[in-house]
Amino acid sequence: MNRPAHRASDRQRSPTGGDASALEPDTSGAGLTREARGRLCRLAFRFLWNRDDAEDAVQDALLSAHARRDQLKDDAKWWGWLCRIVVQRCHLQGRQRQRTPRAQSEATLKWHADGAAVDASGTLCETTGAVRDAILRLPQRQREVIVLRFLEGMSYDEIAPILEIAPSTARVHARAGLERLHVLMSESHPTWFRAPAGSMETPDDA
Amino acid sequence: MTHDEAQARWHERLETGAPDPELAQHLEACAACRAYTREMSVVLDALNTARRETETLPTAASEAARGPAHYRFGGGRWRLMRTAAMVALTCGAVYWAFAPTRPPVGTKSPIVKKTNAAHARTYGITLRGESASRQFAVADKASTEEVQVYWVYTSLTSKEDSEHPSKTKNDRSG
Repeated sequence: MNRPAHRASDRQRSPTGGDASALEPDTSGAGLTREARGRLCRLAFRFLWNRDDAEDAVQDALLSAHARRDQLKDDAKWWGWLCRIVVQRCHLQGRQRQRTPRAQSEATLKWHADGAAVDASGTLCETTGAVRDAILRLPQRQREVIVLRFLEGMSYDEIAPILEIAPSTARVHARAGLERLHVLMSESHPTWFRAPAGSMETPDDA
Repeated sequence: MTHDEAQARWHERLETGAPDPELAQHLEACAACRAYTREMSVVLDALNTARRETETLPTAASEAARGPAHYRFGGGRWRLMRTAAMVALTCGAVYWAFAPTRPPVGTKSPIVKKTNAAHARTYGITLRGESASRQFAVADKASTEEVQVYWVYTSLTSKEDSEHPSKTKNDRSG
């Protein structure tokens, strides 16, 4: 039986030493720890796949969070609340980018330039590129769940308040998203899904 | 167990990680579900690879380079605006400083202005008794100077025409 590739992760706890008061000192995010800001940027990057866009989205989200500070009722949940604002901002920015084809192409170029930072060889890893292309073609909700669950490593209980859905709904979206990713990736990279030689796997109606 | 049940339990097991003997038994018997889980594992491995690669996103270096000004205007745009403003101010200052003393178009040298009277007097003597056409030609050339124009005028009129009001001015200058 296949080993689960991802287990419920506890990586996504709120950053060490951080609390809602981190939003108070200023709106530029300087009040957040370096770790927290880096994590928000990474989260935005996994939605937008462009470093500059991700940093802009985080900056906008922090400004928005500061303006809506009174809407945070439970300070203990400030990290999830901030993540929700970042995800919403990424969604808006993604739609704006789709409306301007030129910006989209520039973003693609920037991604390749950024690839040098991600990958020391200066080339974008084929697997990551395929994942990015497939994720960008997913429906919005599936994309959000897939990114939060499988790239950010959040549990469904953590995803649910961020997306304002039930955990069971998040599970359904995750499964649908994985199956959709399978279809998209098998179209672009059929060799990855070819059964190994000598395999006895044949479709049946068991 | 149906395909759908087996696949649902496989997805559920991703979360819990708990062993499921019944599912394992089904997968051993069902090639379709085995293929499904194998292909899903490929997708999950690809996601895992993407997660690892994007884990090292370099945000620290860019934080220093991006301040509020960069956020509002974009770095290149802000620098371009600042440079354009400085160039415009410099050009304006240079124009303001030198434009008033710039000689009019067609004048060979601004020094001519300082010797108006001497030139005018010389022209007056030279032109006397010449043909009208030539006088006009000379007068044309000297038309940018007020005093010279006066002498050309006197040369075209009679010698006794000293009662012209400009004569006084000529006397002063000469």
